[in-house]
Amino acid sequence: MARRLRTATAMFPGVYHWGTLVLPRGGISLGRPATLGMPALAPDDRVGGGQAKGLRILMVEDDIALANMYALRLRRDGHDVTTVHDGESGLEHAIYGDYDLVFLDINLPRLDGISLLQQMRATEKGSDRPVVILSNYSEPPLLIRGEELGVRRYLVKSEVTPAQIAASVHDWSAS
Amino acid sequence: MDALLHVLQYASAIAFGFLGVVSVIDLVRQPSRRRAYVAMALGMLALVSAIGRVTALVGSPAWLTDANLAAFQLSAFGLLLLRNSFIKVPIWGWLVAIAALGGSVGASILVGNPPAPATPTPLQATAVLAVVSAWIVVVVEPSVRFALASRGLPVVQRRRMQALSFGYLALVLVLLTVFLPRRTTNTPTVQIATSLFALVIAPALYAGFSPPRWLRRVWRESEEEPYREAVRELLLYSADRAALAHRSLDWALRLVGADFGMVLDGDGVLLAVTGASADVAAERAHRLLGEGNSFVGPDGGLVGSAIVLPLPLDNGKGYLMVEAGPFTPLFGQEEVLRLRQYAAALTASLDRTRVAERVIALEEVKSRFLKLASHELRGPLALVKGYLSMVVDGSLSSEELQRVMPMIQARLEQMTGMLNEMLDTARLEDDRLELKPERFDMRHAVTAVAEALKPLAGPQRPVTLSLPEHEVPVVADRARVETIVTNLIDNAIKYSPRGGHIDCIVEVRDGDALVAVTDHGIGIAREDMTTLFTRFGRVTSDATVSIPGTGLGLYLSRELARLQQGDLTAHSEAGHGSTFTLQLPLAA
Repeated sequence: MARRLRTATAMFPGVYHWGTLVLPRGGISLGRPATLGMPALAPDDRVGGGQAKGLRILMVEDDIALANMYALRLRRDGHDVTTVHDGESGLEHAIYGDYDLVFLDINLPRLDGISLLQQMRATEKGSDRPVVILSNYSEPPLLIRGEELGVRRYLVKSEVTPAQIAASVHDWSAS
Repeated sequence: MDALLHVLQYASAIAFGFLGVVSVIDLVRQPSRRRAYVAMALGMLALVSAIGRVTALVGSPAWLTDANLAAFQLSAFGLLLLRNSFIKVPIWGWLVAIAALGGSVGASILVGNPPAPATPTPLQATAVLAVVSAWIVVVVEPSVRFALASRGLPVVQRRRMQALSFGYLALVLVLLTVFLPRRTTNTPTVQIATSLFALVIAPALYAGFSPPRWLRRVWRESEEEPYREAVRELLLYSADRAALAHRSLDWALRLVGADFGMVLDGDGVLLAVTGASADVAAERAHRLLGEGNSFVGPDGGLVGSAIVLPLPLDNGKGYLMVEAGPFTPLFGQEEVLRLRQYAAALTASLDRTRVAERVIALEEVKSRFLKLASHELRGPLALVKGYLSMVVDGSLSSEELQRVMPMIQARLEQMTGMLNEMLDTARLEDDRLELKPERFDMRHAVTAVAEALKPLAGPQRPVTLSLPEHEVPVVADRARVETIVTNLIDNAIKYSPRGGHIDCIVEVRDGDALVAVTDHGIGIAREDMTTLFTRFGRVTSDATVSIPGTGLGLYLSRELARLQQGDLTAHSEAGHGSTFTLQLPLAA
């Protein structure tokens, strides 16, 4: 059953607009209701680090400076963040490591994010690991592919702030 | 009345005789299987007609009558052979035809033929009827087939096949009169009517297998308007080359009534073939393009039973070739002239599609580039925006801010550089790029660039400068020259992911100032060298996917060098690094 949906990027009004997209099933709002970018739901910075337990987070991102930036922010909230910078080691970590949440870039050296995800889903441990795509690319075919591979959320790097990401990691990692 | 009947009978005999002679001459001039069948069918009819006149004059010995019957049946067999060459006759068809034709003749010879004036016995009459029936049966089938097969053919072929069908069916009608009671057919009126009717058969058959030029022109007139329409469409409509060639070839065949045709592209590729297998076309193409091709003059024209016209396309000399089939007319100068005009239109439209294809390809490249560039810009934007938001919400300490500031600045510089490259490229295309030449020392410019890039290179990629002791004066736009050198050193840094020293050598050679930048990075594969300097021609591989860049740098650098009477060249070995050399003329 086809459902008319707005793509993830259109959730940030005025920033980027791809129009509506017809997806075969489900939607791009994955797993949980959208909380990102809505001021009322974005918790105060200090709350996250307080009571909630720290998560083990894997960040697969080839831009080292960017990876460091996200890691810096997430570590402030008490999360344990591992950064890797290419697809192959990303896959290794995603399959064999013990992570509550994986942030995945698409354009990666050696193995691209979609292929990584595909191979990871084929393994037992990686089959239902929560994944959030964090990429510069947001073409509709990629969104659909990500959705098919069961990602929790598809984000465009330049449209989310580290604080917004930090505010939602618990939602995304919850099964 | 009798005299008139005689005149008519002789006229028709002469007409058939002429037909037979012409078909044989045609066969001798252009020997082919199908022409042999036509000559057999028509020649035998002529023979029958001639023997009929001879027996009327001198009486008929039995052997002559027998020979006459055999010739008559052979004419039908000739038509069947011709039909078989177009549409295969099944084996039982052959058996029936041979049994009917041969059996009836054999029976007729057995029972013996009556001398002309005598009344035949019932048995003899039956034998003659059997001969005529067999002939009719064997002839009607191909005639109807030809009439049916003519539909959908170009007008000239269509009319020819129709004329042939008409001629034979008319002959059948005349022969059917033998089945009528004698007292009806023996009246002079019926005989004259029959003879008059028989007289039109020969011209119809003649028009069928060898139509004169004026007749072909008359036939073609009905297609003139659709033809003009087609040429107009050909000139306006932007099909791809192969589709265009196919459609135009179809009309070329109609235009001259040819059987087989092909269009050969300027690069020797077969664009379209009609009326023959690809193998036949390939063989023709081979002969046309082959070494000792002396049979086609520079302007082309008639070559045997074909018309070959060169197409002066912008990718080389192509050919339009149409060939007469055994059943299509031999071409004359009129056909050559018509086809020549058509070939000119075809050349123009083929060239136009090439331009259109190029524009489309460039559009695709541009939109791919736009996508790439916008994604490239999203990276640094995310970083700057991210850190800024952290400063604003207070989650970044001032020490941390101090630490990341240089990197944010570097990213902003990177974005500025990309944007400038894009702007300069756009200016270059509009010829709005203004150069401000000044005299400067190349050593100073290169030193300044190397100093500025040192932080980016880091300790793993030391940039070693090697400068001559004396001045290296050039007159050029210093800012643009620095852009080029920046690009070269920046590339050397970017494409040396595992580190390695970078050599930058300035020297003077043969009145030129040279700046050679050598790295020991990933190098460039041989097959990628061709796209290296093209606009948007960024070489992307697994190893380079995370290296930022728009792909404009080298294109822009080389254009900038060439605008200033210099050049930029590359030498590389995959896996072992690359050397890029900027060359600019020394100032006097």
